Amino acid sequence: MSGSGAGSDVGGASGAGRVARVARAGPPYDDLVIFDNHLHFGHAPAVFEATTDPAELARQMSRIGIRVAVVSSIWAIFSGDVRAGNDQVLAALDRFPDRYLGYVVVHPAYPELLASELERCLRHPRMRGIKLHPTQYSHPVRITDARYRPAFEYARDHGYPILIHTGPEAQRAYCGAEEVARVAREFPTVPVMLAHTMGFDRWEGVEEAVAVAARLDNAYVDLSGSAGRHYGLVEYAVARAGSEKILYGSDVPQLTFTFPLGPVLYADIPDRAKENILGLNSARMFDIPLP
Amino acid sequence: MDALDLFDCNCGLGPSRRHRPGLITESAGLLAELDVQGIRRALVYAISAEEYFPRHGNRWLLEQIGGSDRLLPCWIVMPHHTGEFPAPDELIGRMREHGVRAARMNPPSHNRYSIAPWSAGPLLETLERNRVPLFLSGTDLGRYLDDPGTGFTPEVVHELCHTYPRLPFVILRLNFQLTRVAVALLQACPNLYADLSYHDVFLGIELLCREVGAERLLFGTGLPIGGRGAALVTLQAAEIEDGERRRIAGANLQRLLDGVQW
Repeated sequence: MSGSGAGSDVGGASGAGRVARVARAGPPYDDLVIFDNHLHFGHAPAVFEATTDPAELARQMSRIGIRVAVVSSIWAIFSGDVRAGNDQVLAALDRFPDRYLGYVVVHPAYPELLASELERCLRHPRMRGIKLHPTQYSHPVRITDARYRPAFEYARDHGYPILIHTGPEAQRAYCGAEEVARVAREFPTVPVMLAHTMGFDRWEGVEEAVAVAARLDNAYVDLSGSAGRHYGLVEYAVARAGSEKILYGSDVPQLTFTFPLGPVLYADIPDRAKENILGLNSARMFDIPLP
Repeated sequence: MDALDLFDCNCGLGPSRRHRPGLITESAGLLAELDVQGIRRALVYAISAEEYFPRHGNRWLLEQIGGSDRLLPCWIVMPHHTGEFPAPDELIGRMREHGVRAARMNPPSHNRYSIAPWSAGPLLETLERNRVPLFLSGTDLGRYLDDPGTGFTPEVVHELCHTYPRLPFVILRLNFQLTRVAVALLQACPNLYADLSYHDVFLGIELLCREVGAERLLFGTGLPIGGRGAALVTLQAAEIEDGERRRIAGANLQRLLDGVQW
């Protein structure tokens, strides 16, 4: 695999890079700055979750060496009880101010709540973005649907990024990379994160998402659900979109902290590119102070 | 953390129809990749044996890894009724001759035969008699729910395990979406094992150790498709006893291979 991407400093998987040395020592990776852009509270109905308790999730973050996670409510996404779900996140932001930042979830099936939830939740200083999940409401709603438009306008007017679930195959029509790109082009000042790099088991989804991140200044990808399933994904994305456009994200508690982490720690890319992906990009995106 | 003696149970070699940049196709590249991840040995199958034709791929595999003490062969097997594949006793003889101590089947996705006793029975009975561990790829436990079902359901796996109770079966790519099914199935089938190469389940190793037992779990990378370091870091980070971690890392697979009775 050919290493590529940002910077010319020492790194890579088997060289003398600092990140590779830290990786070989095993977790916790406290010598690295790792921020997770994609965490959830609450239950997804079809998936086993060992815990959704914010305190236990914070303890597990510490076991890995993840300092801060940006959280959205699965409850708000799946159940339609948008306010209760967002309240769960708001409560955790107060209880664990050093560990969590938040996304407000808005739900296209409840347009009457959209503006008020944006106002109510983003008033909290640790709410830093908006989460949209086009395929998992009571019925799927395409990301290009007008019902999302107030969320994009709010993000544009107030300077918030948006995390959007993306996926291949049946999900493509609702939140494929090119669908997201249409909205991202319309709102070029709104940072748009394509969750899961659209891939899961489909490499062609990865190619599409990375192409969008490479093409649009305001498009980014996160690695949850995909980096652990595709050898070379990190190197591929860095070579084409640049390490500044890739964020480490986990999708815990539906998925693990570690599956997307290993491919970054062991990637054949410079250390600076790994540091961008692991934490520096999220620090910039969510205004997180560096230690 | 003490270094683990890692033995990869799910490692493919050769060109694949799932091509992507950086795909490792030759044994030298695979050995270099194992070095990067600190993996001492791997049980290797030929991807072409699964995606193209078993006999062709199995032969190619031996040419590729012959003599390596780090890459151990796993053959793709299928029933013999059409004459395309050796009859079970002849197959076992060839496996013994070439030191092939594990087999792998993927009936629904690739070779289109029935796994039912009237079809695969003679093969499975022979593998059982010789205690050759059989890795199952393409089961519904190893796919995303978005993908169409293959008919290789948990119910079929359950029936296999109970029809051939002394044959060790291994589910490959145990996925995150069917943990509730997988735990019940593993509990119901003492001769069933799970490969963790795609086990992206939060605290999932901890769950399986608690509810099924570490001795039933096998470390795997899913190479050349699986992401570098994903399964490794997941095993390293699991909140389990070091003895459990060592068993999963490689001792369990070694025990299965040592259990082969020629």
